[in-house]
Amino acid sequence: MKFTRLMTAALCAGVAVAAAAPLSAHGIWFAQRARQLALIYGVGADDLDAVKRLPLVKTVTGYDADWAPVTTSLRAAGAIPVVDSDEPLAAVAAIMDYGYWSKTPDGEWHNKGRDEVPNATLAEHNFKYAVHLTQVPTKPVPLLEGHTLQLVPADLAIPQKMGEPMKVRVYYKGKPVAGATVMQDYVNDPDEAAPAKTGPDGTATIKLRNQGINVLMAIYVGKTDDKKVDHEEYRASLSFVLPHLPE
Amino acid sequence: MKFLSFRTGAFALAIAALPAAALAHGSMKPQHGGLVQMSGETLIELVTGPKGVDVYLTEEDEPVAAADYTAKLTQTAGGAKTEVALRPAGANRLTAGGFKAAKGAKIVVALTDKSGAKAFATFQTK
Repeated sequence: MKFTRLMTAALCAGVAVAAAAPLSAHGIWFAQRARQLALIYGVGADDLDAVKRLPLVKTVTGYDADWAPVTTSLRAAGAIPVVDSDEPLAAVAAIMDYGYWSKTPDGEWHNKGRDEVPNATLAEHNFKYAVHLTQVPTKPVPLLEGHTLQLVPADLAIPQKMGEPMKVRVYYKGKPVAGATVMQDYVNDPDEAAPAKTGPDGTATIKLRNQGINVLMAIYVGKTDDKKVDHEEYRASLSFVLPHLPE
Repeated sequence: MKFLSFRTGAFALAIAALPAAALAHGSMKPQHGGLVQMSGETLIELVTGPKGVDVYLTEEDEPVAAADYTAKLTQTAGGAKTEVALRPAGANRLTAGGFKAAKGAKIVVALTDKSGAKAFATFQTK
C-alpha cells in the first residue's frame, strides 16, 4: 500500500513540523467555529487542544458596544472551547498564563523554571492574551485589566479592505512600548520574514492580509525579577473579520 | 470591518453571525409583519403585539422547530432591563404571552440549542 506509506510519512512529517515549533511560538485568539466563537490555541494552521489548556486561561471577559462588561465564560463544546455569554458581545478577551518553560541543551522544553532545570539554556515565563472584536468599535478599545501586553487599533476607524494599511499600537504595562514585534497574519503567515516593529509611540503599521479573519499578534519580551526565569514573553492577539461580499 | 451598527435593529449582529454569507440563503422578508434579522444561518422574526411577543425561526425559508430551543427575551427600555422566557408554542413559534414591548426599546432574543450553543438577535422596536 504505497499510498498508505506515503500518507503515513506525510503525517509524520506534519507532526514533526508541528512539534518543532517552539512552545513560545503559540498564541491564543478567537475565531468562528460552527457558528460559535471559539478560543484557539496554536500558530499558523495548528489549531491545538485548547480544551485541555482551559485551566491555564485565567480570565475571559466580554464587553458590549460601550465596553461595559457582559457576563462571559468559556464552555468546552467537544473538542473546542466556545464563548458563552448572556448577551451579544461586541468584544471578548482572554488571558492565558502558560507557565514556566525551560529549554535544555538537548533541545527539549520542560514545564519548569530554572530552579528545577539548572542546566537550562533558556528559561521563560509565557503569557498569552487575546482580544477579538465582533463588531466595528464605536469607542476606542480600552486597556483591559490584566492584559500586560495589549494590541489595539490606533484609530477608531478600521480599514475595510484587504491590502489596506492599518495602524496599531502596543501597550506594555499600560504604556505604549517601542520595539514590540507585530505580526500581521499569525494564521496564514506564521513565519513572517520582516514583521513590523513598534516605534517610540508604540505604533506600527501593518497590511491587512485577509478579507476574512485577521489575527494580528504582538510579541514582546519583558524583564522580570522572577529568579526562576530569564525573562517573560508576552503574545497578544487582536482579531477581527473583514466581511466578504454578499453571495 | 464592515460590521453592522449596533443600533440598526434588523441588521444588528449576534456574536456568532458572519454577516454576508448568512444573508444569501432564503428570504429576508418578514412573514408575520415583524422585524427580522439573521443570526448565523437562522432568520429570526420578532412580532410584537398587544397580546405579547412572538418569535419565529426559519432557516433557508424552512421552519425550525421552536421546541429545540430554550429562549429568553431581554428588553432594555429607559435604562430598565426586563427579562422573560420565550416558550415553544408549536411549529417554529416561541412566545412570551402578555409581555409588552416598549417603543424604542432594545430587545435581545437569546436562543440556546440542545448542544448548548447560543445565538443572539438584537432588535430595536419602533
